[in-house]
Amino acid sequence: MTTHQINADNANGASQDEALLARIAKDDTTAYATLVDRYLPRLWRIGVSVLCHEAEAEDVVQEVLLTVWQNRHNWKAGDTKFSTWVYRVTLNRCIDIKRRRRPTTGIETISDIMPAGTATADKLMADRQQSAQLLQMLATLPETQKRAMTLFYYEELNIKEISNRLCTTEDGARSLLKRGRKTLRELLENDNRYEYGSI
Amino acid sequence: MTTAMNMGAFKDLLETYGADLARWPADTRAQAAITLETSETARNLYADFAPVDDAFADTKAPAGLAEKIIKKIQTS
Repeated sequence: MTTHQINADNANGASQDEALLARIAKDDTTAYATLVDRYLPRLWRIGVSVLCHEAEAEDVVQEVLLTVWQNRHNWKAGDTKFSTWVYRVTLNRCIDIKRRRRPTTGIETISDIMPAGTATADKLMADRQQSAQLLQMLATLPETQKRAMTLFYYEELNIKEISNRLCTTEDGARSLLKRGRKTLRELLENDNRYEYGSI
Repeated sequence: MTTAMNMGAFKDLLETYGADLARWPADTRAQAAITLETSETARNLYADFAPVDDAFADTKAPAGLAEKIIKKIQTS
């Protein structure tokens, strides 16, 4: 599988999105249901990661996706990508809720955002699975980048452990992760390149 | 008192460790959280990188949530 082939697959995915969104603008609820299925897992993950509270995450995801439907006739093409917009709206809403939850104290530590070892964090790990698309994308990376990424995500190794496993320096391990992540980000971006203006 | 980090440092950490702040070095997390809260640029960067982590951890939303959302738009 070459990068060119994967980009072609991603372009097909983007085309499917475009078709769905055009149908949604014409009040097609079936198309909306398909879009919900596509984005729900991603928005859910942002919600539970930031809020560490499933009921609140559920409220945020519902609110954001309902907003998409309620404003379906007002969408217009622009500089902002739909996927970026929807991630940003979800994140902003989660942060708003966190501020309201503890308005006088704010966030002092990361445990306020993503406490390790909580039921939510454990669920995130238990639910982890590989997608065929991701495996195809990983296959295009140079071997050392691919190994660094898989050690980081699937074995959850830290930088020192990755450097030991790959017989490189810690700076070398960081560089491999950065380059691998950059490539994957670009491939995924092509998959979500439907462009939208703000709602 | 913890303050926001500069955007170059934030981006560097995001590129290295991804969008899950729990994976960032412990001594950067509180600052990163503040940065996310206070900077629109940081939130935009975060939104750019979130899909990579998402692809690796395809977390399942609660069963029935999609149906609940669809039902709401059909009855609204």
